[in-house]
Formats: sequence, structure tokens, C-alpha cells
Amino acid sequence: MYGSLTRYELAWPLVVVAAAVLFPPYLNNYLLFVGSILLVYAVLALGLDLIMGHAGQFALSHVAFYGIGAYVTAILQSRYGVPFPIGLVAAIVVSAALAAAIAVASVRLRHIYLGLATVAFAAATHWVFEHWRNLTGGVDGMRLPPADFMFFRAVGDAANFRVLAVMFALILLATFLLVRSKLGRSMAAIRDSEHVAAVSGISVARTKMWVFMISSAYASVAGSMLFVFNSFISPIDFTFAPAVLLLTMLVVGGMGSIPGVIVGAFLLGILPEVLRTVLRNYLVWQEFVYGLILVLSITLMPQGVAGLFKKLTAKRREAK
Amino acid sequence: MGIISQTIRAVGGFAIAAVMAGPAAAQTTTGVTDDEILIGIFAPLSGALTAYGTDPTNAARAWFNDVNEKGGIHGRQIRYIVEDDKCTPAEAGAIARKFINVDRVFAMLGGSCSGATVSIQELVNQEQIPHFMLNASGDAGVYPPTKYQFGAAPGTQRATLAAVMSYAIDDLGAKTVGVLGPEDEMGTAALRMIHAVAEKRGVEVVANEIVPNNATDVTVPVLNVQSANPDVIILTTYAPPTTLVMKKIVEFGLVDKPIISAIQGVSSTDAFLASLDGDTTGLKNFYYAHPLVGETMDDPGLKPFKDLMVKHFPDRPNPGIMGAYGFPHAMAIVHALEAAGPGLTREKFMEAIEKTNFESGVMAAPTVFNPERRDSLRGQVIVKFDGETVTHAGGPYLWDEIVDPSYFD
Repeated sequence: MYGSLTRYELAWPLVVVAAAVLFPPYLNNYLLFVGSILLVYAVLALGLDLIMGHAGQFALSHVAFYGIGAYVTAILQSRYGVPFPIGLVAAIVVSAALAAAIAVASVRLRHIYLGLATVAFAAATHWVFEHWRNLTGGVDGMRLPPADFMFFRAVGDAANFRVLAVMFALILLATFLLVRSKLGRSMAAIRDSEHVAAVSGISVARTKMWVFMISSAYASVAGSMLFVFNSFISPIDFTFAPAVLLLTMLVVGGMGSIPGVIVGAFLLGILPEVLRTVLRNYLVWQEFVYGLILVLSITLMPQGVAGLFKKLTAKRREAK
Repeated sequence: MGIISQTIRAVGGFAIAAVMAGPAAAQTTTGVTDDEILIGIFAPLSGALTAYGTDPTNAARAWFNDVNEKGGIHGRQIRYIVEDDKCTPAEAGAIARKFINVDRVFAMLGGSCSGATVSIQELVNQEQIPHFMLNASGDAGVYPPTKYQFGAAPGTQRATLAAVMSYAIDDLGAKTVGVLGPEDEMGTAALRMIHAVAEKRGVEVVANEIVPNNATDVTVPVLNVQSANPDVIILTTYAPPTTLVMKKIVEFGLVDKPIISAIQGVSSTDAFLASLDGDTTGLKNFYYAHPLVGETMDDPGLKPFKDLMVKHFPDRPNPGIMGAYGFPHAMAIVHALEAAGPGLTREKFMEAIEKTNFESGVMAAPTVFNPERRDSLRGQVIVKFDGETVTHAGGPYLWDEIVDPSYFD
């Protein structure tokens, strides 16, 4: 689990980049747009999984940092002409700094108390998005220009998808490295038992703070990715609904498993589109079937897709 | 067949349908065949905002069904696909791309929320697919106008507040007005028009009090307006805060002061009266702006449209008043398709739509589009409500006849 990356872990980001280069000419704008949404969901879910699945902390402020990432990048480029890469770095720094401040205040909290504290932060951030009109455009939202990458501008769904796929590949690589690092080991130790981790010489408070900052930075990157392929953002993009969706992605995919989380994000991201096509003539049933699938998958796969896969693999081994 | 194989088939079906559509092909006129014109309709049909989408969608569908029953347009039937955008920009973005790239629609009719419709403005202009908002009426979607997006079937805040201010000045003789309203998009747009009319007519805005949409107490703003002593009080608040304000108006003895509310303050007279616990004391001098020819779907002017909706959607025997907003843009599309002639192309349709000017029979003013104009309804009427009856008080007032549109440039 720890140490250097496996061949598979090195190959996956390369596969993503190759797919980003090869596929767009064969896909229409709808699929590219849906693909872009899935990549954003995957980055968001990977970030949330760091804190929930790998470190075992119950934080619900992810959607706030998602919004901060989107607004910081958008405001810097559209109001001050700051190119996207610099805006992205600024968004990460702002999010990490805010996360550090929150972590200092809430590092002693656990479980539902940490959850409530982070929900309060998310609610306050949403209020700022809605009411700091001069900066965010308030409930009117912000129209966004094409992302400026200094050497080129990402115009059109194909270009956007390619950029997002590269960003996702980098995040994926970073996640593999992080989980295999010393910090990754500390996170796992804290998840399993904070007391045991502490007596083993791990600084629980410092580790929690780092995880919270990194996880928030992931969400911020996802927000910046939203800026790349959307021509408009508004506070409605950062309500509690995406927060619940993200949690569901983790549960369906399997917390603590990188492939599981990505599968969960892709499954739940694509499901509404599949239902749109399959249940075209049964519009009112789409939401019901969506809910039913969630309930069934959580009931039948309590450890998520990753857990089911492990179980099936183990059974096959036993049979041999 | 097992659940797993059914699921695989469903996902496979989606993937094949989506991929087979391929990249947008160069085609003369997508969405048009010899016997069919394909329209993509979307609105919030699930979630908290369902009420905004269901009846307007049914109204548009009923109109298209009726046209089809009468033989269609130049031998073509209108076929429509309906999708649920939940009023979110992300869903609207995916749906619009699906309509354009997978279903290959001729035009789109949809959107009950400004954010979702504005979010696809760039896309529809880039792809050159005409998009008509269903009942979204935010100013941001139509000012400044863009070529392929059409909106404001119920009128923007410019239309509402031009009517309110004109009635206040011309009929109630106001020299000063006091405003209570939110600070959001609607409130800001409303205030802009109030100041525009006030400047032009030499009227003073003596109070401008912010009442948030989630206000639970409005004592201070109402007291501030009372101390400013305007001739007329104008409300641009949504329904819940309007109720709070009206209760304070009674409490502070302001019942003789004329009060004019924007349309968003009175969702329906029955609901409004119920929110006041049936107390009509504050309604002695109460007026509100209105974009329709009737107050309820049972009013003589709107009854035929209600009957049409019920005929096609009998599962909703009592459609809400908001349903009426779904008609004008469906009618505008049909008008333009007829005018474009049998050799329908998108260019001919765009030429025709820019000559749109008709009385819908639903709205209080004509539905108009022209090369400089993408907000279809510019006029509203003022009605007086005393707790029992609704009577026409003035209008329709057309905002561009009251304030030069260049004022907002």
C-alpha cells in the first residue's frame, strides 16, 4: 500500500491523457460536456475521500471550497485579466489558507460535531457568494470568458475536455503519491484509531490540518475546472445538493478506494444522463428510479463498488 | 432478463445513442424533415421548483398538440422532447447540448429560472440554435439582447416597474415614492427602472429599504418608509416578505397610503389573502402589476387556454396561473414557422421570428420580437385588489414608451 507507485498507478494518468488527446474528435459536444462534468466530480470526490475515506474525518465543507475555487479563478480572470494557471494557483492558496484557519478552530472536533462546524462554514460561504454582489455578481451569477491559458484560450467543448482531462490526470497522480506517502500512512493511522496514532508518534492535529488543507485544495481545483467548461456560474452551483451527491459518490464507489471513488463519481454523474435516455417517455419516474438505484446499491453494496469487487475477487480466489 | 443484463443494455443504449450522434454534422437544417419539426422543451419538473415548470410546460405542449391536431404547419407535425433541468445551470447545459448534438432539434423552448437560461446563452449563440425561454423573465437573459436567445414571456422587471411607476404618478398623483425590496437580481433591476421613471418624471424616491427574501421581521424598513412619508409605497418583494410588510402596514396605521406591489409579491390573490389570515384591512388601497389578461385560469380571458391544457393533460384539472406563461413563446414559434413557409430553414425562421408581433390573448400586451429586441413582453397592467375582487385599474403600460431603452445602455 505504501512506498513507490505501482505500474498501474503510473499508467492510469497516462491513459487519461492519451484518451483526452484521442477521443474528442469522435465525440459530440454533449458527450464532451458530460465527460467534463464527470472529471470535475471525480476530482471533487477524490478530494473528499482524502478526508473522509483515508483520514476518517466527517467534513462537509467541500462544496464551499469548490465554490471558492470557481469564484477566485473566475473573478481573477474576468475582472483583473489574470490568466487561468495563475488564478488556479491563487484559488488553491486561498482555499488552503481558509482551510488551515478552519482546521485550527475545529481540529479537536470529531464526527458529527466536525460535520456541523464544516456545514456552518459551507452555509456562510454560500451566503457570501449570494450577497457580495460587487465581487461575485450575487444571485445573478457571473458570465465567464473562455479560460486564458496564456499561450492559448480553451474555446469549445473539445478543448475544455482536453484541459480538464490533463488536470484530472495530474490530480490522480498526486492522489496515488499522497496515499503512498508518509502523510498517507499517518492519515490511515488516524482513521483506524486516533489514540493509537498519537502514541505511535503521529501528530494527529497536524495531520488533520494537512489533510483538511489538501482536501480543500482538491475541491478548489475542481471549482477552477468548472470555470474552464462553463460560461456561467452562480451560487446555485454550490448549494447543499452537490455536497450530498458527493457523499453518495463516495458511499456508492467505496470510501478509501481511489478506483472505487472514481467509479462512484462516474456512475452517479452518468446515471441522470442514462435515465434521461432510457426513461425518456417516463420523465416523472427518472428521479424515483435514480433514488431507487441509490438505495439498492447502498443496501446491496455497503462497502460500495470497491467492496463488492474485493469480495468477488476473494471468492474467486477461494474457489481456485 | 436479469437486472444486470437490463442495466448493461440501458447503459449500452445510452452510449450507442450518444456516440452514434457523433460530432455535429454539417446539415442544412437540423430538426426538420418533410413531415416533422423537432423542438426541445426543458423546465424544472422535479425538485423544489417543480411548480414553476410543470404548468408552463404543459401549456406549451398543449399548444403544439393543438396545432398538430389541426394539421400541423405546412404539412409538418411539431414533435417535442421534454427534459427536466431542475433549474440548475449544469443540468441546463447538459440538456441543451443533448438537444443540439444528439436529438438535433430545430429550436429549444425552455427554462423557468434565469440562471439556467443565461448559462446556455453563449452556447445557443455559438451553435446558432434559437432558444426561447419558457417563463424565465430575468433581465440578464435579454439585456443586452443576443441573436439566438429570446425571453421574458411574463415581462421583465422593467415592464413591471414601468407600469407600477406610471400608475403611481399618473393615476395616484405621486410626487414621492418609497420602495421596499430585495437586493437580488430582481430587486436591483426593479430599482433601476424606478429611478429611470422617477428621473424622467421628476419624482423623488424618498426611501429605499432593503427587505431580504428570507426576512422574518420588517419593522425597521417599514418604519423607515413611514418616516419618509412617501405619497405611494412600492413593493418589489417576493410573496413571503410582502405578507410581512402588509401586516406591518396595518400595525403602523399606513392603510390609507396607496401601495403597489410588483407581480412577484402576489403569486395568487387566494394565496395572498390566506397569508394575511384573511385580514383585508391593509388592502384598502392595494394594487399590483400583472402581465396577464386574467387573474385566474377561470377568468373568461384565460378559460379557453385552461380548457386546452386540461384537454391535453387531464391529470392536472386545475392548472395554476403560472401555466399561462407557457403559451406566448410556443405561439411565437408556431407563428414564425408558419411565416417561414414550406421550405423551412433556420435562416427563414430567424427572419420570421424577428417580425413577431401578435396578441396572444393570454398576455396583457402584444408579444413582440424584432432585431433589437429579445424581451417579448414589455407591457403590464395594474389591478386593484380589495380582498374580494380584482379590478383593472390602469394600463397596459409599455416600458419602452415610458423610458427610452438607451437609458439602460
